[in-house]
Amino acid sequence: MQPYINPAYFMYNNPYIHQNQSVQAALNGRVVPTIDHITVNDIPMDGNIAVFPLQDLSEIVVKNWDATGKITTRHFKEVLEIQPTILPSEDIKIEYGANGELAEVFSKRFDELTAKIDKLEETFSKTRKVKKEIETE
Amino acid sequence: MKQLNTVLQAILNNPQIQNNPIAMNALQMYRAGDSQGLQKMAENICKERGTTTNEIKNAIMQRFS
Repeated sequence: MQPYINPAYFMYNNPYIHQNQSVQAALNGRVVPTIDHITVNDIPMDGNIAVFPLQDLSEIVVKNWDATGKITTRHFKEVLEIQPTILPSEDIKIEYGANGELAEVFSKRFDELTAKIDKLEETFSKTRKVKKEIETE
Repeated sequence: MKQLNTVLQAILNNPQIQNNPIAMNALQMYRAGDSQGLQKMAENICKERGTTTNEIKNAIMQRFS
């Protein structure tokens, strides 16, 4: 029969595990819903930094006391790895070029607008003529 | 005065103090006799903690009275 080895005893006497635990303990901070939830007491005054990941992981805020007695704040924001889809120039021509449907719709709309402007100009010129005639009479 | 310098040197040689930028700056300013710098540092810390140096002073004085 083999002797029973308590796993807790092994963990306690393992210097490597202790080393890792001490590294984890040195990291100050906590997960916060918003930046406003960070209080002054969350930041250690021993010169170490405190890390505050936002709950939605949109940002990581790092705060520490500087030598002058002020709190410095650094914001780390996520960078999306997905590249924006770049269409080849020929595809762009097809979608937005002179032959495209979009260009046709715009040209129609411009034609309508120019026609309306012409009509407005006509009515203005007519009213001016009438005014001049009244003034001469 | 010599004893005070020895104590100050012992504090400055402490690795915990050496790794603390606020403590190191404060001790260096104290050594140089920069009372204005120390005052400014105290004001900065109080401002960050949402209080003033006068409020802290009054709170300390109340404890002794």
